[in-house]
Amino acid sequence: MPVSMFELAVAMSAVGALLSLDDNVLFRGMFAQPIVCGSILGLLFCDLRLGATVGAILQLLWLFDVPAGGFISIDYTSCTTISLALLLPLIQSGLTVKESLILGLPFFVLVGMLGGALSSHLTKRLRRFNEAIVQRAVRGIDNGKISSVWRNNTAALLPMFAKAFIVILASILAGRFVAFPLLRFFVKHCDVSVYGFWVAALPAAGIGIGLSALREHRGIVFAGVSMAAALIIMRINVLSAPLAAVLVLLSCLIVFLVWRRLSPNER
Amino acid sequence: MSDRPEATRIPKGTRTAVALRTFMLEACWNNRAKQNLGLCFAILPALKRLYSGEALKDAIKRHLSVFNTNPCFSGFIAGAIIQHEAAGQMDESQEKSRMERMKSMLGGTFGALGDDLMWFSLKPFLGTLAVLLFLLGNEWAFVWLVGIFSASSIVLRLRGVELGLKGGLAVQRHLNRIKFKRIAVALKRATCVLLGAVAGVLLSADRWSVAECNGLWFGAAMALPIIVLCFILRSRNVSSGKIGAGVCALVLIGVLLS
Repeated sequence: MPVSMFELAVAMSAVGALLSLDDNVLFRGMFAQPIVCGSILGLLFCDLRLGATVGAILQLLWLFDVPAGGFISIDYTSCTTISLALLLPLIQSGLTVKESLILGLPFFVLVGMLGGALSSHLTKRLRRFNEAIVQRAVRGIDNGKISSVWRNNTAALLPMFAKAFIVILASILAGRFVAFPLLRFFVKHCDVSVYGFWVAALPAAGIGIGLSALREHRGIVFAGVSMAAALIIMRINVLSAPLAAVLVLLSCLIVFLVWRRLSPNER
Repeated sequence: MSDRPEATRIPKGTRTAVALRTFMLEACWNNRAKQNLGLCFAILPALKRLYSGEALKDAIKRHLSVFNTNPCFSGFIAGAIIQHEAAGQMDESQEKSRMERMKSMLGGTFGALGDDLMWFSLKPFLGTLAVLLFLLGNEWAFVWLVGIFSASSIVLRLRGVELGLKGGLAVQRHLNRIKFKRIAVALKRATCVLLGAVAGVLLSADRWSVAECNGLWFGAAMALPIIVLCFILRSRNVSSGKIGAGVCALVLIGVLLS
């Protein structure tokens, strides 16, 4: 049975909202991370590779936005879900995956970021609302209803889920109305097939952010060494892909061990 | 009085239930008292074993004060609280103030430790590893990220409750034996190395069409300034979201102009 785009958007929003709970509310098992969220959505609704590609492009950007001490960053799970959900119709409209990624992804990430920012803002509001839920639990305990502890604690998940679901769905629908006419204009006037390097801009930004956030002594030097090693290994054309992958990982291990040897941890 | 016989009053099933319930510690995170309801929810099975009637109500209300820690390390604190409750023989007012001091102290210690180890070290390391493995052709790389992080989180919670029950207030002693700080430093360094490798693979992979754009150095000329620019922006405390939005806008302008 063919599935309409609206039904697909609803289903993706539901799964995305469920995964977004993992970031601030429930379990905390990294299911909300862009690469995981993208891969799961890809596996369920389109293609694992496409989902993982979108997730990998976005993953490095938010590597160091951590929910420590109740901090709320832009809701990257919503951003990933929105970006992937908007990308699918573009691919189905006749563009290749590569062209869709190059042309559509920056647009969709921007839409996703707006949605993610709204979602984060609403999370802050809901945390204030949770104070009322705690008061209700206290009243329940006073009345001798011990079950009000788990009932209210579990009930607090519902508004969070509903918030994420509505924000993601609304952003997908709004994105389709706003971004698609603009993209049609771009498709007519640009030959996007040669500008693939732009897709690497987001991961490159993530690398810069990551190296800055880590603030490790000699971090840039050793990152540069491993970059050079990976670059050389990947450019040797005679190596098969699995062998090149093993060699890159091995080079990382060697660089790491050399670093430890040169400046061991302070005891 | 020995703590151990009191602590063993909590059966294994209840201890496991407490550890698993810590996964919902932040379900009702609120601005006023942070994770208070989540903590009550987590330790409720144990409190039910120790108290009944009015005493149970009082015990629950004792734990509705402010509480905040790293959720992965919450098992240690939950275990210590239960041990303290099991061994507690003080009057109500004394008990409440001592409990609040203990929760505040343990919450701060484990919060700082957990945030550094889990959020600032393990998460970036696994995230970068997953991206690198994906770029190297492993589509299922995300399973590593979820599998290792979730497994370590589950083990920490289960083991944490056990150690908390054994150690009580002195549960931090167990942490001194495990060199968490050194592990965190090693993970951060490994993340640096992996980020470098990701940059190398990005510059060389055909997937990103670097090869299509008049050779390798054209791609490098585009990617390296972005890395340096974002490094500087982040050093000046510009948020990742703003940097990402800026890069997206730049990409769009770039595609249009070219």
